[in-house]
Amino acid sequence: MEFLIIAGLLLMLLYWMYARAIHIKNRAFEAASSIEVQLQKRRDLIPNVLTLAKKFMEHEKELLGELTELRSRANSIGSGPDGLKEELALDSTVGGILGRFFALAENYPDLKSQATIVRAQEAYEEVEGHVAAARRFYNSAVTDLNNAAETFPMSIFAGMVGAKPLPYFEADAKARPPINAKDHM
Amino acid sequence: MHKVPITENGASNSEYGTSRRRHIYKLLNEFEVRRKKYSRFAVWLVCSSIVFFVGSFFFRGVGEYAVIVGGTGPVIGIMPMFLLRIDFKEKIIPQVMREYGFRYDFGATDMPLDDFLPLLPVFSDWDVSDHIWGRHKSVRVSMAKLKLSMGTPRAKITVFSGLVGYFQFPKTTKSRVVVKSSAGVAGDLTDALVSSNQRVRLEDQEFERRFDVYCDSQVDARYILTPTTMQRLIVLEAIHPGLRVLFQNDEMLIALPNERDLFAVNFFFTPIAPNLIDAFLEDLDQILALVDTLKLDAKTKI
Repeated sequence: MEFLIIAGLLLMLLYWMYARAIHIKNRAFEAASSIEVQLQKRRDLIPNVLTLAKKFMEHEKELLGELTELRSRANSIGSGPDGLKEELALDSTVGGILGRFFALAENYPDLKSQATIVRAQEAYEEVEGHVAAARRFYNSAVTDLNNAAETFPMSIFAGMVGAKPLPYFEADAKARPPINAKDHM
Repeated sequence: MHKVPITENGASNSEYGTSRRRHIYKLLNEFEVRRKKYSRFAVWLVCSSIVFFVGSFFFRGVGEYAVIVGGTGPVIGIMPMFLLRIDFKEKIIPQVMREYGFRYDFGATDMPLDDFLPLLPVFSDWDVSDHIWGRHKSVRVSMAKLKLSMGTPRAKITVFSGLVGYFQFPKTTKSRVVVKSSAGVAGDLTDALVSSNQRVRLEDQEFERRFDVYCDSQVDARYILTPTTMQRLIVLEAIHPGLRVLFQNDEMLIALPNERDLFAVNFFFTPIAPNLIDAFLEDLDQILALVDTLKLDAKTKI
């Protein structure tokens, strides 16, 4: 009788661990997909910004060219965990360059006075807020996934459900311009 | 000295401030004259009733009349004081609030409560009063006192008493983010069994210990609850235990349990003196301090 109770409890524990591994894996995929949605939103801002910028920012051709190239490269990366690492690295640079672009736009009064660029800047700030939120969600889900995939005995169940460690998404601090207090006053 | 700043709706120079105070004091003095008159009337009627009631024991044949007169006398005597209280809340406080750039409605007829339902416990009766609205540091503010009860008219239990309010929030969200005081393990179990909203677990351990967060989007919840906002909510919760907050569209809805009666006046014992205004402004301060604690006027969306 005792043996049956212990076996029953053990089975329940094993099932719980298996279900937990699936939950962790799905949560990480959900987080990865949500970050892809937000990054795509950020990339979608680029064409509008470029159209405007080409008119007014003759001297920043190099930056604009870089932005165009990065966008097309990021769009061509396939989805899924394998492409994610490359996509995250690339988008981190895209975010940095966009930030630099809006900082440089301050030097072009004609461009700054355009209603479209004001709206684009507002949209950019909102998208950046959502990217940061998605990054926090993703990194939190990835921490759970990586812990499960690398710690015994959850690693056994993680292996069974095909959960592999994923890369963290880190903001590209070097590419970002310093915050100008004047912009917020 | 009270700390309420002069809002953009009012002038900020001290000369105008003095004339404003003078105007308010004049109103209060007029009210004090009425209060003294009504108090004298109430005391006279109550004492007469008692004398009549006690005297009836010495004179046969007036027993039933003595009960009627002795019972109704105090009621008639006290009634004007209650009317005066209503008059005070309907006439004086709105004028004081207007002078400070706010609007006030004692009956709170325009305060919608439906949006607050996710923050409030189950209730059968509600009473909302003392609605104040306006702008403080360019932030839209709308607050009212709310009392919720449950049960039959004979056996009522108060399930919530405090302030509820809307504040303009610098960010916009399509989802609804609910932040409640943590219910511990019991709350976790209830969530698992009955809650329809997704529980969001955030990285800040202190915040997690104090609050439970619900939202149907993990990203939107984090967009609103940035590390800075979480820190500010922790500070606010330390001042107002039992704090509940809901973010929707560009608004932050807040429910603060608070037993104190807002803008309360005891006419029987307290003269209507100028220092009453300072007491009111302290109540107003308590509400407006929420804007400062949460830094809702900040232009940076952090």
